[in-house]
Amino acid sequence: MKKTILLMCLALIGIIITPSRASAQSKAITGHVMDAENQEPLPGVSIVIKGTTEGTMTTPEGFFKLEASPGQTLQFSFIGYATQEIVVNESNTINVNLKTDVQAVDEIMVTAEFGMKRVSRSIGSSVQNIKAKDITDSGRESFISALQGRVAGLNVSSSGGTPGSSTTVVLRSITSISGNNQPLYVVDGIPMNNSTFNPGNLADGGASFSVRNLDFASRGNDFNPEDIESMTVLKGAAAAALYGSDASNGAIIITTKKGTAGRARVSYSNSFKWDKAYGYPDLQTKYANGARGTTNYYYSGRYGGLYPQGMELYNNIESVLRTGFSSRQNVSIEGGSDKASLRASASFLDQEGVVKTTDYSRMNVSLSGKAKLNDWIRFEGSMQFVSTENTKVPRGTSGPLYMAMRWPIVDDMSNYMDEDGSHMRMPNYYTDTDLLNPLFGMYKNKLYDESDRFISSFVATISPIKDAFLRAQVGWDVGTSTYETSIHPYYYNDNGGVGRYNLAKSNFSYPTLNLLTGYNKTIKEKFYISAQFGYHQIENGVSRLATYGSNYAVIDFQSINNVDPSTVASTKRTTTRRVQALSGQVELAYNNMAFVTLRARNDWSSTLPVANNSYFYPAIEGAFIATELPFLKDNKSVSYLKLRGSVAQVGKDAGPLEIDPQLEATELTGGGYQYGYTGPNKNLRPEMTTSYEIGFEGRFANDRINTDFTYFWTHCEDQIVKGFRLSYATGFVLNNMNVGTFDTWGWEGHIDADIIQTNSGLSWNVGINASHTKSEVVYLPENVTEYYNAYTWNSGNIRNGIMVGHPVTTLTGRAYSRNDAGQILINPTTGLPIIDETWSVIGDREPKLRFGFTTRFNYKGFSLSALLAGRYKATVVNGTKRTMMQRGTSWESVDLRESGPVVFDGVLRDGNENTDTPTKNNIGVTYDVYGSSIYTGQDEDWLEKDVNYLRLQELRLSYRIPSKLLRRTFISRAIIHIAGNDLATWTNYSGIDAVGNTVSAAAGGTGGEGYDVWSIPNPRGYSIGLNVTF
Amino acid sequence: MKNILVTFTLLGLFSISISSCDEYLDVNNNIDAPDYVEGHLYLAGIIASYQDMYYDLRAMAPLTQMMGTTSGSFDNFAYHSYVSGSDVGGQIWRLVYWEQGMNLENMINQSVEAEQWTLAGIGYAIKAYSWDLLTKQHADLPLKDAFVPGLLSHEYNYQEEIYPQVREWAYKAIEYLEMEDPHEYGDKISSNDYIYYGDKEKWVKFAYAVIVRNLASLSNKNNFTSEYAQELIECANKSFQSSADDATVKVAGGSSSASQSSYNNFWGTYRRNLSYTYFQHDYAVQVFTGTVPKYDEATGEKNVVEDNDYYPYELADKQIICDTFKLAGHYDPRVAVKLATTDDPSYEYMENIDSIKARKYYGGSFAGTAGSVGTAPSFYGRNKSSSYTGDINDGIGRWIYRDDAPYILTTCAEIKFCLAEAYWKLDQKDNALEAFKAGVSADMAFTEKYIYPGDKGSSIGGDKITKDVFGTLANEYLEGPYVNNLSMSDFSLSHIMMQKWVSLYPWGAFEAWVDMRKYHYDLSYSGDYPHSGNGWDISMVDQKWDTDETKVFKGLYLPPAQVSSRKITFDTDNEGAPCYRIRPRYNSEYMWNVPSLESLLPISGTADDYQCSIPWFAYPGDLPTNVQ
Repeated sequence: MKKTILLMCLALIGIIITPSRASAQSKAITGHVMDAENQEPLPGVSIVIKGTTEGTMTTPEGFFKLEASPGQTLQFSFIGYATQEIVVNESNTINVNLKTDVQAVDEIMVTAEFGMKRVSRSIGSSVQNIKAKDITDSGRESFISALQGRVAGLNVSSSGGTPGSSTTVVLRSITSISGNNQPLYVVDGIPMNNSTFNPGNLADGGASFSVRNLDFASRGNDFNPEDIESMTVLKGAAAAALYGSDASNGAIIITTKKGTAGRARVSYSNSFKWDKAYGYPDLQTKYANGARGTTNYYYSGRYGGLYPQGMELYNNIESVLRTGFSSRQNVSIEGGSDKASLRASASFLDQEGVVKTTDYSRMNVSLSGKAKLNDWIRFEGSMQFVSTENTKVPRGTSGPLYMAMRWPIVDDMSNYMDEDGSHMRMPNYYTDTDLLNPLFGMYKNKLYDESDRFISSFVATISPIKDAFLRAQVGWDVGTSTYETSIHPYYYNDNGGVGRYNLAKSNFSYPTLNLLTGYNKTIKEKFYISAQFGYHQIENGVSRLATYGSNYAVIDFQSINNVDPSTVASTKRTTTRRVQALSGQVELAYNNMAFVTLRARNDWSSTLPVANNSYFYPAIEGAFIATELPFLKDNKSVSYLKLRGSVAQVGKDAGPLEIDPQLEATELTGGGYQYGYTGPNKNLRPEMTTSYEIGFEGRFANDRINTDFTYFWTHCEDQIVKGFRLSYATGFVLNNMNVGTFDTWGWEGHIDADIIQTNSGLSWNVGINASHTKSEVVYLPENVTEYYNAYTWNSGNIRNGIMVGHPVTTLTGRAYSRNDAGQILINPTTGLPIIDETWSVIGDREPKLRFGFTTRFNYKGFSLSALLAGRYKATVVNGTKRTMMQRGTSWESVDLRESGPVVFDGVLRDGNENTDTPTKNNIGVTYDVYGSSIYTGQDEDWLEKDVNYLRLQELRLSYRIPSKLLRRTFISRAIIHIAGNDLATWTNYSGIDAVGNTVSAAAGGTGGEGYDVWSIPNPRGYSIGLNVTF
Repeated sequence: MKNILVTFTLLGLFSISISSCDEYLDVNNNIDAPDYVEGHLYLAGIIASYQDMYYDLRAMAPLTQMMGTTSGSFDNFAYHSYVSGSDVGGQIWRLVYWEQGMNLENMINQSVEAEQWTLAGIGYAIKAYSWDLLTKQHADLPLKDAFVPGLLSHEYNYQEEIYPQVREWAYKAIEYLEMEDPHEYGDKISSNDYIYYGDKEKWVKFAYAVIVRNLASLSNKNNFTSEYAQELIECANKSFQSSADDATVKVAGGSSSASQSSYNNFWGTYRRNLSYTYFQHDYAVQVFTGTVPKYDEATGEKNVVEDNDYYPYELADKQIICDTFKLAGHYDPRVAVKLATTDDPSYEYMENIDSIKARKYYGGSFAGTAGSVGTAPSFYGRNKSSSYTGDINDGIGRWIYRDDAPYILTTCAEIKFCLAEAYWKLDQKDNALEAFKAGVSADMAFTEKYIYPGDKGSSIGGDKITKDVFGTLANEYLEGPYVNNLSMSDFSLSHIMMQKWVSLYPWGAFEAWVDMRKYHYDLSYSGDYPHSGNGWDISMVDQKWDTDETKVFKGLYLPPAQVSSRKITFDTDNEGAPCYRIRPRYNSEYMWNVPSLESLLPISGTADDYQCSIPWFAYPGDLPTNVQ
């Protein structure tokens, strides 16, 4: 904000001083000023003839023109850049590349809560800015996906590579076992809805779909990346403290473009992208359907005899895929004066995914602007209208890939219609009637959602007296979404279904009000004090109407009107959460060197029992700029060193309607009411997260090396665990209780360096960021050995179990039974390993390290950049391979059946297992005499540990067409690019996607990251595009 | 100054818009459902939730050799084992504690408070029935700690304490139902009571039935005759008198046109729960068709006979239910309804008695449709998964395996057999025989009621016999040598208990299992609590031969018995003992209430063989507190 105002002021000065007198020897000099790093033109650069008051400013396209005499020195200065001096010589043209002035970066303002600015150096916790350009250049359709790998400690987990997949973002670590773990998204000071619809809320009560097999888009992905001016990631609770509960997982602050002063500017950009799927497993082509070596197409498992020579075999997985294509077009127009500016933009995205029938389209139209009404009233506003449509396919073991894997390869699955033109075709040879053709499902079923939404915010800032302000923000994020699922009557065993249709309409309304007042004062030059006080009001209203019906009258028609009226069932659910809060902040600074900020907030939430609904939480942060110390000042090798630390608490409320048991209409004969699963808890208290962090930021070697490091520790106490279980003797199945306490800790850091930087415009920058997180559950009630998230129970008996003394990301399962010495126990009759009756810890999903690697190479108009992201030593559940073994479709299953008798390593459970001389197992087990269960193996067999993973997320080459060539056109600036997304993956993981996520973001809690159960990974994308400004 | 004025005016305007804090925050209410409803609005849901019994029948019916199953989970029960880490077999746990749970507590408490005695009485009757069911299945339970707010762990009560509590609730029900209730209910009760539509007299009979069933399970306790038999007889005489009194839960049905699939019976073709995963067991076919075989006591093998292409084995000399003669009275027509056959697939001979009698029935093994003689069909009469569409299909099902059939809670026949058994124990054999005859007769009426004949010549499901033909054959049978013409000298406890078993087939497997347990599956029982080296052998159970006078269930052999097709070993965890109780619901108790479970005696609830721990009702004396 300040930057723009300053810019406008400078522009103003420029206008005033431009009509200067030309001296006798003077001549006209023209030129162009660009950013040395990215070769972007710099508007508003001040050019002054040294020693005079004469000068000019660059145009919005970076051009300038002035009269000067040879020998005079031109001074080019621009905020945030190092001032450069050039002596006028014979040439009439002077082109200048300005380099970022790292010293000046100190003064960079960070957008903190409620759109307020804070001086970066005063902040005591980790804050990272993301350049809008990086987001728009990422090639990603969603700004959320574009964040992966760019920010240390920020992990984006996408539910899949099909268009419109939901995304889960976790900053640093999970802070809630069962609730929301995502950061708060804030647009121009106003929270934005980032919810994901849970298919369990459809009126058939989740009978057809759940968070495991159907994924609706996250609402955060609605936002248009092109409208982002800047993005700030507030990682810790401390940085986001003033936003309260919703920001206990950090916040992502987005400031939208509001138009810049100057001549009206029209920009257009486009991008066309082709996607190609890769990384799918190879199916065995040796043994046919059957069991125990005998071919029998009644079985879907492939343990039969050899395929006859010359039999035609088909790649059915291939048949559900295609080349995806997407196009993006953005147009914006902006302009205005120093008093008022306006920007309007429109953006259109059309995406067809690599899985046939999937598509996503989004239209964003926005209008924003700002105005300075007089000396003491400023006004800003923005409105964005978003409309999205998304068609998807089911996921996991309901998804097309899994079903294609099961389809007999002696049959061409792509031929999915029966000869009668209406029924689903059964595969040739196959005599059972239970296989469903996924292509029939994709073309004949419907999984669709659409959404229309307004995100708006209005801010008035009044500065009635010097150094004080009053700021009022009103925001309203409001929208409506429609979710539709239809299952064709013939998409059923033996074409014997009736057709099932679900329609849900969800309206949400999130109005927000923030009133802030503040006062700043500098005392005796060196002391600075600023105080701020705020009142806040948040409302999250959601109203959902869902209806279901079955028995289609017209087989091929999808509508609630086409079902048997007697089958229609509808449900409605309305929830409102309201929070009122007061916040305060006092910042003390000494000599621009030492800073202490005290912050506090008190919330009153509607979701808690009245007696417990008020909760207070403070935060303190400090920063010390060591390089301001006299003996370090002006040291070239250590140009900037900041030490920082903070302690912050954030209280968190419950969800709406979680205190009292809810009566629900019964779905049984006779109707009436019955209680839902969840029991009452009149004593629910707010949970409290306390986070500590220390860190430093430094710049070395003449500012060419930039580092940032943070160590954090978080204590999450009194967690409100939703869906906590107790004995059914409570009268209920689930409860919402303050039961869990756990700690998380770890570090995150980044370093980047300008390896090459020359005046000729050649530069090469390399950056690495990494993070490491650990956690430990420190308390659960005594009667509970393990709390688990049921939706993570998605491959055999592996689930995300929460156990005292173990990380919150623990995987539990039914392990092999072992003797006291840890040897696996073998059944003396069968020779097979024995499985524990109960669940125990078998792994941890959290990798040892998550990291990202960025590099950018610039020369003249060329820019080449790359982003790689990866994980080191992760544990991944290979549910994909497990199902392939179960069905005998993997080459490994072929190896096993051909291997001869296998003797499992272990000791017999014959009574001697815990003596000094246990009986070593020597019973050979021939795989062929068993059915599929032996191939399916046990939980421990499907954890792949020490998985390393590296993905080339982005590779982009762009070229800025030299201004000379555009001089005579109406185009002032043009950039063309070619780029690739997810071009390559290097990993020792043997399933499909090591970063697969088995559940939709709607599941919340600890999520399904690290579970690969027929994930659809990100495809390889190739794009070209153009960016022009008129 | 002007600036400041404007500022304060704006500030003032904002503060007006902020309403009072309490009011603003008072939005945590459900506007889509009431937070309080009148008692009768709970009733239909409480009653309809009895469908859960049929969920657990998937474990009970295989355990009592009524059904076999190809379900990889439920066949564990057939083998007297369990599925570790799973909720299977725990549905009634869910029914009693949650589905009825607080709904029933509220209904009872609100009704008592409002002096609505009828509704309160119905509530107590339901509560007594449900808890009786639950304790018979799982034995020891959290009773006193149930529904107490705020508890994190729930202590168990032993069955010895639960049994009298069940009867107390039943008597309470009778007390309330017999009190004058001046409330004008209108149709509030009658339209929500899917058992008796508000008929108080029948509810009283039902409450007595609960007491009878409760006491009958104690018939093998040492003090049965002195402590319980008389009370049983008194209650039985006040209970059901004809099949019209049977307690059944009506469902709306509607098949694929129902707005909720659960409007249909769990066993109907629309919900496909029986499909072809569950099928009649070999033992059921032997009992129903009078083909219990004779085993060679030296080898345990059956003797093959050459001239019978339907049943190629020598039969036991004494059949209890019927025999294979085609003479009038020797054929039990219930076989044509309760069991399934693939014969007459197009429903041509539904009225042809000779054809009906000539039908062949085959039963499956514990875990497969292939039985010792032939292949068991589905309950709908085809060797195929059930289907309600296609040219040949099973329609909406048949008999009580039908979309719109009611769920059966208890019948007059069952109560009469309980009465007969009590008289038998008191050595009042004349009375026992009378009650026995009344029981068989009541079961004929019960069986006939739900016959749903198919369409002649059409292969779209239904029963393969008409009500009229059934009635004729039933009368013949009742007059024959197995019922009314049964001589007192031939009359045995086996007749009572096996006719009861037939009358319970297969909906009443719960109670059939009670009977099998109290007679200890006809094992040569040592009298001790099961534990290794204490009369129970890990390798084989020693079962009484059918020729043994004291053997109650003729033809019954457990999976590890000494006869052909039973020579399977129990899981090693059983330590040689059969299953005596179903382990509590895993995700209620084993996950969240382990310390309480662990403290159970004499076998800890967490022990690998807890399912073999004999419940108090089946143990002749007091339970030991310590088993070595």
